[in-house]
Amino acid sequence: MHVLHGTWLTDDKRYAFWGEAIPPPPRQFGRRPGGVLPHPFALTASQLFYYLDRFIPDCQPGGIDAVIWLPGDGDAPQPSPEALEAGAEPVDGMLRLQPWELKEVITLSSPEALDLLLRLPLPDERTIGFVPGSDLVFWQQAADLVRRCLVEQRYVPALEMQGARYLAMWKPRPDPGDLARLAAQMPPLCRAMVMSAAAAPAPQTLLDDFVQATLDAFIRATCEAEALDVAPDHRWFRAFMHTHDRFLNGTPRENRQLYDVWQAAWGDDGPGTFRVCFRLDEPAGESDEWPLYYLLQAVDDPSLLVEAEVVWGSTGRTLTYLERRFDRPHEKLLAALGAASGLFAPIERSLHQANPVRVMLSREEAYRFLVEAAPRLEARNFGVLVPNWWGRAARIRARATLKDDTAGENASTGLLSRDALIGYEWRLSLGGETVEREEFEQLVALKQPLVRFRDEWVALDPEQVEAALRFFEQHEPAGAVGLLDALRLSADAGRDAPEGLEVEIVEVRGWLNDFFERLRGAEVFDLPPVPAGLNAVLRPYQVRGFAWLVQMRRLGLGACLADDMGLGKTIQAITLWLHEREHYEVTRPVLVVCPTSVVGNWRHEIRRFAPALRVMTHHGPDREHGKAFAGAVEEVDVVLTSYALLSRDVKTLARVRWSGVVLDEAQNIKNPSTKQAQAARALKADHRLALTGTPVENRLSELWSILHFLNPGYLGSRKVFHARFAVPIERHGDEQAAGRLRQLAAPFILRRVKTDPNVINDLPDKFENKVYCTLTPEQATLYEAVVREELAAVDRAESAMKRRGGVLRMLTRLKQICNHPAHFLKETSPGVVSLKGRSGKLIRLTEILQDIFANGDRTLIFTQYATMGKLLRAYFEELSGEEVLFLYGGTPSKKRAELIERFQSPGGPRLFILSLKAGGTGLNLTAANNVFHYDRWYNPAVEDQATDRAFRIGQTRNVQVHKLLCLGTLEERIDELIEHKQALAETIVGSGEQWLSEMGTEELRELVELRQDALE
Amino acid sequence: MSWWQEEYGYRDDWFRSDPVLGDHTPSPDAILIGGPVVAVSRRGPIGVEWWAREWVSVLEAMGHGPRLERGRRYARNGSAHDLEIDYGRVFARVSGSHYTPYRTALTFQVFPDEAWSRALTALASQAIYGAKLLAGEMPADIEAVFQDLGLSLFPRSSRDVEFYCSCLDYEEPCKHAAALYYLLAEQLDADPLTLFHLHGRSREQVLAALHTHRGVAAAEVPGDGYRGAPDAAPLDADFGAFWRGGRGGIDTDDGALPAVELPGSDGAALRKLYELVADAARRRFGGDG
Repeated sequence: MHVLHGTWLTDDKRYAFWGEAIPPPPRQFGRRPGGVLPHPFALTASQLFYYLDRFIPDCQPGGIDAVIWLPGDGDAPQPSPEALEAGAEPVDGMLRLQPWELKEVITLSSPEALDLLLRLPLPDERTIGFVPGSDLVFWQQAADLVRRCLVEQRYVPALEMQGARYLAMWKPRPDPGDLARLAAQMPPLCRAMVMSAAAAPAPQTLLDDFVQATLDAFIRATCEAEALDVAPDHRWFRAFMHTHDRFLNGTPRENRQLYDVWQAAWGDDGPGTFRVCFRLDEPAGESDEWPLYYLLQAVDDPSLLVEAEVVWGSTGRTLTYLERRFDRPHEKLLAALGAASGLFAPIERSLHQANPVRVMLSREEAYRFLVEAAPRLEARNFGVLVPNWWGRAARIRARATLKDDTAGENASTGLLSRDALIGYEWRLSLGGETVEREEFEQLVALKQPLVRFRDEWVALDPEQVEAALRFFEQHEPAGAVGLLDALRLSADAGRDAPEGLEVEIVEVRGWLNDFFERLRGAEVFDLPPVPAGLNAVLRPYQVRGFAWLVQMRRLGLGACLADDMGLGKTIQAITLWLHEREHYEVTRPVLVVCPTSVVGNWRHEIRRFAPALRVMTHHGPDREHGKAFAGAVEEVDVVLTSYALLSRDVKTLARVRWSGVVLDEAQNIKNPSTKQAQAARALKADHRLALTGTPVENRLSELWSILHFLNPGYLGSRKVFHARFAVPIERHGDEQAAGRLRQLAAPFILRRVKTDPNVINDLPDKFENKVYCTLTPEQATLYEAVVREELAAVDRAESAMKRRGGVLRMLTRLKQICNHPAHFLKETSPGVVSLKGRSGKLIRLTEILQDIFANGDRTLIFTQYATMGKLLRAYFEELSGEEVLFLYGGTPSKKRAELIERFQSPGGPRLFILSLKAGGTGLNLTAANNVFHYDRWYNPAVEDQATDRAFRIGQTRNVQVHKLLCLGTLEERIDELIEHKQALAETIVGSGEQWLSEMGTEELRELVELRQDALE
Repeated sequence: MSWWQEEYGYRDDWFRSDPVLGDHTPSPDAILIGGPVVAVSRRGPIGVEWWAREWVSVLEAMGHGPRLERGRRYARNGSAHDLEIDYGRVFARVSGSHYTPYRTALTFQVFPDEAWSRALTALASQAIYGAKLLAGEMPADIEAVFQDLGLSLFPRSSRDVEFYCSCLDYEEPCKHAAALYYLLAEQLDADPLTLFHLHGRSREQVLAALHTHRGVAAAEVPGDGYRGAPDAAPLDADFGAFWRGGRGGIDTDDGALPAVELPGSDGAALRKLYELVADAARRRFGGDG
């Protein structure tokens, strides 16, 4: 039976392998006089080789004579417990520790030792013929620790200064607890192979040395075996990868720099993973001295701190504290203090003692430490501990309070009068607590960056202090503002005031808060009576819209009515004007600016719904200017003009003080730099209104332009708006900024869409509106010529039948002219170029279609005439670049079905032109939500039938029906007739147009003659 | 070797037994820099930190302009090689016009042990000295500490530094010795403790001494009973415990700790090495923890 032993030799950096033989061999060695006794039953080299061959056959062992200290009685050493168990005889004398010579100790390199230890069977396994001693068992576990470090990559490269050279070594980083526990279990036997028992290495030292050397050797051997190489800029790693040549080669300066870099990146050393830490404490009691303490801090457990005192008080290379070991703590602490004194000069003061533990800082220095030195120290991998009130942003902010000063007068109505002023107060808040201005100034006057404020220390950022002082210079701490400013203020919380001070909150007190909320919800406070002069019945949502307009007018706030197309913005505006005149004795006129093609529409609608309002159209070469204009408008209530003329005649228009300015289709000023937009802003008015059918909030520059027109300055200058909203929202998707903008804009925009539940119920399923168009000069000329000729011909007609024919022919021709001159003139080769701009109807239709297409809706266009249908189709196909479907009397039924199917299918063409007489069944055109009657039958029933087809089945959506007609022409008049005689229409009108031919000449003339309104 | 060199020139073996320039076995603490040593500074003055400049100013007070100029050139072109920095002596080979490089040396005063003891005690009395030196800086008032003891840390006159060279130039210092002196200036830039080494104490010795002497003062600081673990732990006579231990071991079920983080671009370069090593270890010794 053999008992195998082994241990690590720190001086040789090799592993010694020996053993005991039971029974002991016959004595072989003589005794050297006065020398050390040889171990009588140690294994011979060849016996040891047997095991090497078995477990590590490739090894190249060395051999040494060694001395081992074992308990013995003077003649023989005590056998190990394992040997005793195997039958060895214990010694009988008194035991004492004495040295024994081992003549044939095998030494192994550390990689070989690692191999051996990990290949030897574990203690619990059965072995035959040998047993490992407790020292081997121990080293097996140490070897396993090394193995785990290698596999789990727990080690770092380290540099150690030796003289002027830097030695590269790999340092293991196992769990510090593991290492400590293992060291605690080292049998003293492991440490006994020394020359002098007094000089036996400490367990930790021996274990560390073994682990480090073994790990290091394995890594290097692997690198060499794999012929690993590194990139040229990492040449210095070579010192870590070779078995020989472990020093950095480079100039001293290069090496020094590398060493510093390594220090900063890899920081600490060895199994004692710690770093130096600086802790700033608050002053004690009333003193103003801030202590900065020096400590060691465990890297993996930052709460584990060792004060410098303890470090200075310890001797030896290692400090043990709470089961942690700190290697060379004095050197580390000193080196850290040396480096830190370069980063923060006051530390140097404390270095004039032998054992500095802290330095006392003035308040100013403490502040500088917190602001400047702490980040620098952290960047160099020192620990920094600061009071926990630091870093909690003790920000200086401004706080505003808005309240109504007028002693509750308005509280009863819940409404402000137009000129009401709202009181505000500005206060400062410091770290969330309000501070009075005097108190703040006192704190600032101390000229200290750290101050005591309400029992706590607070840092005063000098920039913020300055911003706060500037702010209060420029803003009255208390005062009053108008409603507009108050609204703006209340939406401003969280943003930076232009002076750089953050606005913390804005408190709106009491009923004012409610008021603002309701304004933002575009709520209406009361419903004024609908003016008597209104010649129509308003739908409920229109009444609300009207009430809202009145409210905005009373509050003096510019308003934007952004209802969907067709919901009746015009009529709501008209109602407002009537209301103004009936209740507020407004005498000055309103200026309405709109696109040229819509002027006629406005005129017509005003005449229809509010005939009492006197209208003047400012257009044409004969229009008034300057003083004449000013005089002329005194006599009217509404002045209509176009955008084109707005910029041209801005001087004239700006002379007048209007009671209101209304921009219809306000997206025409969406670009604030255009002349139009500038001109609009130059107008003087008591009130401003913008009408638009598009969702304004989505296009930020349009929003700004319109709101800037309505309430100048409210959203800030264009540059400020761009920086505060446009860029954050559009470029960065900033939700907060978007929310704030919504809050700011909300009180001024009222928008209802057709799909609104509130609106939908008020709308008929079929929503009709008439689009009034004007004639182009070409059309007007043709029209008048035809009227002259044909009327004369009719007059001259000899028979009733000839007369009838003449009338019909005239009517047809006039209708064609109203449609399009090309239609009348029978022009061939239609195209955008040849058709554009020659027909008022076509112009208007194009405009409306653009909006419809933008919403993605589908449209039907009905016309009586196949020729016109073809013209329209050619025109729109070229214009839109998309396919336009066309169905007319001559289309074969199979093709019809195909066309209808395509229109109905989701991705299909969006425009379908139909030219049909009555008849044709089974047409399912429910995909359309817009229907145009380009020209009209004079039998309403027939017309309705056509439109009914569009939505007869399912009625899944509301359909809007537009009927185009030309002002001042027969179309208008016939329309009037039909309207008035609706009840009789069926009987009188019949299914054809005979009734027209029954009219007398004078009646006819009246019917067809071109009236002045027709012209642009 | 050509005939004229043999006749009129320099023979290296003549100097082999010279006390200063001869072959020496360097002491174990000597700082050896093999191969050609090239000054980092390419132009203008050599030596960056104040103590290196101080060092250089002494030379420039003693030597002649043109020779010093040539000395700087030699320092920059790699003529000097195989430096030995030892107690009291710096030696190097400097290539000159001759085939065999010249032997060049500078000698300094080695302070006696007693003087060192007092000096180190004085240095230990204030942490600032150790702190700065460990941080790679020469403390500002260090010269005063030595002067108080009648010692001259920096060479101030020809008593403090002597120039030796096997070249045929009679001026002192010759350009080779000047080159060596300049190279030392840069060595001082990198490690001010070199100056201490020249006067007889290696870096380790200085640091150890500072520690010991501070420990003397530290005996007065209440230690709270925390004593450092000594590096040596004598075997004691508790024979019951002598063989005991080894089992119980470490709890390997703690769960694997995360791998050490490798910062920076160096880390990326090392990643491959770590993987390789881990693989090799796995193959050789088996895998999991």
